Amino acid sequence: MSDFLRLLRLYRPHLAWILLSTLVSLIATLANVGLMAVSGWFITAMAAAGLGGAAINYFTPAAIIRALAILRTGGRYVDRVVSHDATLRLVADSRAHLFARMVPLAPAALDDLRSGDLLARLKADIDRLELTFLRLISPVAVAVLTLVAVGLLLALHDGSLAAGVLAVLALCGLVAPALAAAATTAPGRALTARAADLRRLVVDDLAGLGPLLMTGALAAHRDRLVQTMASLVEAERRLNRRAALGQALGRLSGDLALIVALFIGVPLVAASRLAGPDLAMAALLSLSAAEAFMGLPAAFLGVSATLASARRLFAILDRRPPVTEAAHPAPLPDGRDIVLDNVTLRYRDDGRPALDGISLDIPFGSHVALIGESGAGKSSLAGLLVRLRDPDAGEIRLGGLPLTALSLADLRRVIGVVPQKPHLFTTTLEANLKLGRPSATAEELAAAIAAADLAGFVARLPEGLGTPVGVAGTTLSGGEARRVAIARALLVEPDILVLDEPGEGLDPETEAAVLDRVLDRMAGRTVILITHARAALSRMDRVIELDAGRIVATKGGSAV
Amino acid sequence: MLFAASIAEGVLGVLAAFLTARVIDAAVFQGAGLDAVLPQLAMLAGLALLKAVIGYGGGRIGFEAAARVREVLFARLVDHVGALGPVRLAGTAAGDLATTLTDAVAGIEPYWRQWLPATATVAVLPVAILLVVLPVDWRSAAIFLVTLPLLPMFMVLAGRSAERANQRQWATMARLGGHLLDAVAGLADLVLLGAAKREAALVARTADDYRRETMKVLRLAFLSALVLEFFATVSIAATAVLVGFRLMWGEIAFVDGLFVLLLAPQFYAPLRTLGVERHARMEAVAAAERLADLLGRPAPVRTGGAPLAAGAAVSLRFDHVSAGYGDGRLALDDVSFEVRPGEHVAIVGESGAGKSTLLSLIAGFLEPSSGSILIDGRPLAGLDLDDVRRHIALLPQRAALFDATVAENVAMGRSGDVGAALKAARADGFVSRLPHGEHSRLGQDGAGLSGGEAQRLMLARAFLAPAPLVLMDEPTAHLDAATEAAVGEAIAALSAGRTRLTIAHRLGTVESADRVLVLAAGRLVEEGTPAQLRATGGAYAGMLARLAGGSAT
Repeated sequence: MSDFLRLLRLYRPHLAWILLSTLVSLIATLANVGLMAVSGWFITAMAAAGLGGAAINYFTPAAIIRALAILRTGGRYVDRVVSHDATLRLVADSRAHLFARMVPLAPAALDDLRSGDLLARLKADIDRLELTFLRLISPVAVAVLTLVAVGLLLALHDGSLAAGVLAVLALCGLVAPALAAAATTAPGRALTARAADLRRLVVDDLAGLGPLLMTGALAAHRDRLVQTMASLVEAERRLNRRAALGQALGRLSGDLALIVALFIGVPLVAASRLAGPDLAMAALLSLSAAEAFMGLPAAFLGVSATLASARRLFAILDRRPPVTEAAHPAPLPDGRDIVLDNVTLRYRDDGRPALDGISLDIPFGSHVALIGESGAGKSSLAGLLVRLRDPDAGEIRLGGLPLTALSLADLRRVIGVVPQKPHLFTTTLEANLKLGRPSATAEELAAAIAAADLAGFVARLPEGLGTPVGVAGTTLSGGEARRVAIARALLVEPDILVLDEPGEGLDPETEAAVLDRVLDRMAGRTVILITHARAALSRMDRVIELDAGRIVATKGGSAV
Repeated sequence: MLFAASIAEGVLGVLAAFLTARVIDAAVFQGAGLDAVLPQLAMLAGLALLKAVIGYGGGRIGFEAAARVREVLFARLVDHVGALGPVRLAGTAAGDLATTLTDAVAGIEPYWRQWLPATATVAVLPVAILLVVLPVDWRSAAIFLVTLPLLPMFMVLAGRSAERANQRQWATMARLGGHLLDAVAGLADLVLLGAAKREAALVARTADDYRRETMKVLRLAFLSALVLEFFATVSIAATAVLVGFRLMWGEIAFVDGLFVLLLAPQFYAPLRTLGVERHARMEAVAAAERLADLLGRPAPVRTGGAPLAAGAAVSLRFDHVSAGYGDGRLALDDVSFEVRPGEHVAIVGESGAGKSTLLSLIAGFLEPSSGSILIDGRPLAGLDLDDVRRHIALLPQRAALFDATVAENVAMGRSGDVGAALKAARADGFVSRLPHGEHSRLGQDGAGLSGGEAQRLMLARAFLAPAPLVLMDEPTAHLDAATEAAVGEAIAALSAGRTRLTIAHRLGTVESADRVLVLAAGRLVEEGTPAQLRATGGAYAGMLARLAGGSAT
């Protein structure tokens, strides 16, 4: 429930739109209900007038019928326009809000979102939450308000009639679908688990399709997939049985309300306590009021999924930012020397430290390589330099000032990092390159491209820099993507450049060529190269070998 | 069945309208009390229950129909993916493919459960109601009849413009979602480049631009629904007013007038339902397109063929082989060479030279566009592919492990001595240190293992059933020196006395080969022993010089 309230709070800036949308929707619904009710009253009254020969003012009801007809026709249109506009406003706002909340968490507290699977789930969650208003809140509000309006109108004629009809509509239209939906919580959970199973197996088997074919294990894995699919469908079947029951009860509400209205109303007419036309009005009102409840079973079925989505999303937003910025950051010092002073980092309190008492001087302008097995702590060290995390013990200083005293923006402008798995955005090559410095001139851009050994590649592209790079850079090879990331970092003109395994995805010759150019361009500035390849170490001033979080050897580059 | 259920629901609705009119007529104009109308009320209750039961049954039938289609379709997709193999699927992002197999298969369901019943009702019910109303009151029937030809027109109108607008709306939402996801996935890079705040503003602005653009389209699109709403409402209002006056003039019986009025909304209800269910169809069609796209990719039909039944080592021959990936470019261009049984051949060349294509052709992941490949002198095309694959050990650059135990990953459903295979692959040491030894479960993608450990498990998989032909894509490329040495030893043991083809990036690997094939842009440019090639001073010699220059090892 608290998750639901928190979800509603996301909607608060658009309260006016939400109220307007609900109101318009209510008017359209009531106009429809009213049209049938007034029509029923009208023809009965006219028939009575015809039989009795009495005069009747038929202008007013005929005018009301016309007015309701217009209101219903126009109301539905305005309802659709306003509710969609309101929803899209919510979408725009909530996305900006969520994204802004995620920025301080990145990347250390969002590491898991690098998996495409979790990211896809996040997208599904956001999509679902954004439609909550359109699919859940608005229909329920309109149904309840319609119920109130119908009750008031009937109560004007007879209390028992109002009570009977209200009870049936509320029970069948509101309570029964809600109960049926509540009963789907357990099968819903089972369904979610089965769907995750299937997805996991499919992803696993697709990734290993080659070995499955080569070893002949595909048949067994295929059977397992088909079986998992069958058990997923079985879980859905169980859920569907209960959901269909709620839907059937919901559809009964109009018919039952009509029967109850007649059952209570007919004796009232016989006793002359209710006029004949009013009986017809009450009957048709009860029957057509059910329209307001038609969407509820589906809406209620979505509630548990919506809450689950909200919980997952809030759990992400509630994560603790890995670093906090100083309240009053110091201005950047003049020096660019880096000093690590007895730095220790643990990812988990009980685990082996990723970095274990590292002390290291990296004077400005030096070219240093960090080597060692994967897991030795090389990338962890790079992350500490730009404060993706803070060390558990020890201190890192830039130009004599602790990193924690500086603003994150300053720090990350001075120290550029080319990450091990750079992300390219679904936009043009140029926009990807200019990400860190949108104001870069064409000359600066060309220089950065040349330094990353990309000039030939760009020249071969049909649309040059304007070429779209596809979803997450998929039209580029791994090596090309790597070089784009290098150019992107160089364009910011950092004083200190950290390259995390720049050779991955490149053949050794290209790797050597790229490194040569980058080192030339960074002459006089600091370069920290993380690698396990031994090529190009000869050009480094110093090679530092890490093992299990400790420095085990330091050599001059030419000695390696 | 599905159609029958939804039509029966409609027919019961007509009967209920008839009874309702009778009850009100009796109470208002015949002075009937509750006792007199009780039988009819009971019948109404019966009809309502029957309608609910049929509605429930219809929903269940729809579910079962969709479930069967989904299960059959899923099995067909899995088979098709197996027939296509990893190389032909390489152009599709793995996540996309997984989504097609799971979400898209689920996505066709609304079509069966919602759209089909809705179309059945719309085709039958309005006409049926018209036929009922005609003998009762031809004037009202005329009103319905006038709107009837307008309805197909509306269907076309709605079917075209609303669908296009709807599609655009969903596409817009998808693009919007894509933009957000892209930004979240790349948040680390944005933060490192100091671009996160700018991107946050962009997310907001993009979403708002999309809203404006979308609303422009939707305002027009909703007009088609307005047309339907207009006809339905005007007909009901006109029927009510006309019936009312004719009742006053005594031209029609009240019971008939009320009956007609009650039927008027039911006449238009199916069409309105259809409008509501349109998105169900849209989503299903989008899903079906994804499925058709995957199923439509041609996979070679390879059934039967003779068994290979080879000995401890095989010979291999490429005879003027060309191959491509279907985009017109040739990845291999007229390549011919021979490998003798037990020979170790290294393949070198730049990225994109055709090295991986060559191995894919032998493993049957791809077929030559011309030329032929012979194993032990027999054309590969005429052999049983499964049997050929059993004779091949394929070691890729990146380990592919399953979310299963170590033993299952090594055995892969085959019988054999897992312990011995682990030992041979020098993997017994670290496996015994795992919490449950060889029965320890690995995470997805071999989570928890280092690159070298994963690669040694791949070797153990190959050791379990020694194959006469070993294909390797530099399996030590991503390993550090110590691990490389251990894995190298194991590889040497695995391939002793067997035919072996290795894609080589490292000097050591190339120099240890009996013979070297040098590929460039899909063509075989040099061939010979390492010493011969070094001496000729051609492409290989140049490559060696550059490799040696870049490496101080």
